[in-house]
Amino acid sequence: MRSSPDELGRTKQSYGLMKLGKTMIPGVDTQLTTVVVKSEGSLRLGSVSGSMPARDLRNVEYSEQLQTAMGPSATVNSHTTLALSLQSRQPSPAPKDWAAELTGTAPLNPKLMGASSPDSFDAQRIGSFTFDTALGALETEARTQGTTPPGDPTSTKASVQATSAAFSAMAALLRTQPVLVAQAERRIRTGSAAANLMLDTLGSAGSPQAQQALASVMNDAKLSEPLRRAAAFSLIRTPTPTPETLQALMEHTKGGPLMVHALYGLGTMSRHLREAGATSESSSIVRLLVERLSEAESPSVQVHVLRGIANSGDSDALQAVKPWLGSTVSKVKTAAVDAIRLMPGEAVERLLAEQFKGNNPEAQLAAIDAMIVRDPSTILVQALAEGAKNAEKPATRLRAAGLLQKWLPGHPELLPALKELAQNDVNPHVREAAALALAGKKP
Amino acid sequence: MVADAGGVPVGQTLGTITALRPKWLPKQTYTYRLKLESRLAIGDQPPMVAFHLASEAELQLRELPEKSLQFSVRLVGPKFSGASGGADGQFDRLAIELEAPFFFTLTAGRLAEVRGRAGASRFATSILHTIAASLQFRVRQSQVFLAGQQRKSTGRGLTK
Repeated sequence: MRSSPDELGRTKQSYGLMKLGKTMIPGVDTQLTTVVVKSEGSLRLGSVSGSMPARDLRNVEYSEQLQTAMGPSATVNSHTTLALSLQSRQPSPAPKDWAAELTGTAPLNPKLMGASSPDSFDAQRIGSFTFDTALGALETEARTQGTTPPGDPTSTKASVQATSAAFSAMAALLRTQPVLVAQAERRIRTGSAAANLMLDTLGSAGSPQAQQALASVMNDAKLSEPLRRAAAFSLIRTPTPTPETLQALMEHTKGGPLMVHALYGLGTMSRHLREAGATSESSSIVRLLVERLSEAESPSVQVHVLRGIANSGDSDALQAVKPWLGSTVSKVKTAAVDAIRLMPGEAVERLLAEQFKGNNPEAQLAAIDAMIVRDPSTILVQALAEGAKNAEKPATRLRAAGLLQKWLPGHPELLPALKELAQNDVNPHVREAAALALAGKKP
Repeated sequence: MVADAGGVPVGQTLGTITALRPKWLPKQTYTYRLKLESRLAIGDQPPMVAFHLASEAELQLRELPEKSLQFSVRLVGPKFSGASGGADGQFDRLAIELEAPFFFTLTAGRLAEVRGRAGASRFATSILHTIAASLQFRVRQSQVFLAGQQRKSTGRGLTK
């Protein structure tokens, strides 16, 4: 998206979960999904002083419009513009004592601030629903699922809207009236037709009480395994896990029917916690995953632990993962490649390049998947140029063609590799995809 | 998104940017002029909150392991104008609050952490996040494993 040699365009494509702030709307504090209506901006590089290097960030400008649905009818619109312009760059007058200045600071994270307190928009979500009417609507939906005649979009849309309203209302009720959580748990345990939907409403409510209820269902060995798995699945998606939730999941990492949920979920939670500045909690999870990796005896458990580490993306686990890249068991080796793909650093890039140019077809595929989500570093660009044509699987070469197209504008040295695939690949689909890529079209 | 005080979540994804990226130098002080405008409204109603913030921003940075840069930022003379909404004196208090230095870390170009005075208000936190996020430079789609997932050998990525 470069628009001139020293100017970069920038567009925000999506927005994570967010909170509205109490300071802006009294009493508001909830998690919401926000849609980017419009986003545009630019970054300009250059030297403010005319001296080298000419890659100072001189200007940042962006403007964005976001829209957040607060309920069936209310939307909040925001419009923000920011401009930064560099006035000067000068040698700092004195060395900075970073440690001293960081003392007394704390992570500032809107996502973790005051989670799940009652909010005024929940009142809109609840509307005229009560616990019983919302549950009734969800149970009706659960019973009629799959019974709507195909080709009846009107009734399908109406049904989705009704269920969505009831779901939002139930989540808001559970969040604003914690006493209802016990009632919800009871209905889940006694076989409500909407048990799975109710588990999801608890997950959506996200409050400590809701998490506790989910953990309780997840841990109850008297309940059916599918129900316990559904509870675990809702629990691991909570964006603000309590220490008790983390502990409950950690206890399932040694084995049992919920081991995979726990490993994968903890990995993801670790990454979210780290990104949110909760590095201590994040690190303790990664240490546990590394410990489980060292204890894992069967290849399938090794794969699951490695995937948990993959979800964490924490480079602290790199040394523990490295030996598994040499595993003779293909699926373990592949999982090890997956495990490092979100980890930052040149060391990881070298390992990915090695795997991509290696001779294990599954590892090559995992490596290209990893490269797709990374920046085009010198190491990876070179690996792609050298390894694309030799990748064993057509699927790998197809993805390589797509990545060559993506990186080509900034790295014209990749052109021969793309031409090679377009002209000489043994697979017609790969040739076609590469030819389309050369023509600037999406394969 | 500042006016809603939600800040820019660290989980946001930005559009793909080319390999061209700024070169940040340690032991240098970068002085920027900052202008930030934001307004928040429900539907088509008049804004519940709106403000213009102008300030100088002094940045210093240091390199951390694993492609991380830690920035120290001090807003010099932050001033609000055209502010509406908010409690009495809120923007005056906010301007004072914003004078406290804050820190943020970019790991491989992506915002990994924002640190500031313990007990900072949500509004201040939101503004500081927005400023920090404006200096992000990379994209990484977080593809994660979900229970029951398998790698597809055709098509793209991992699907459930």
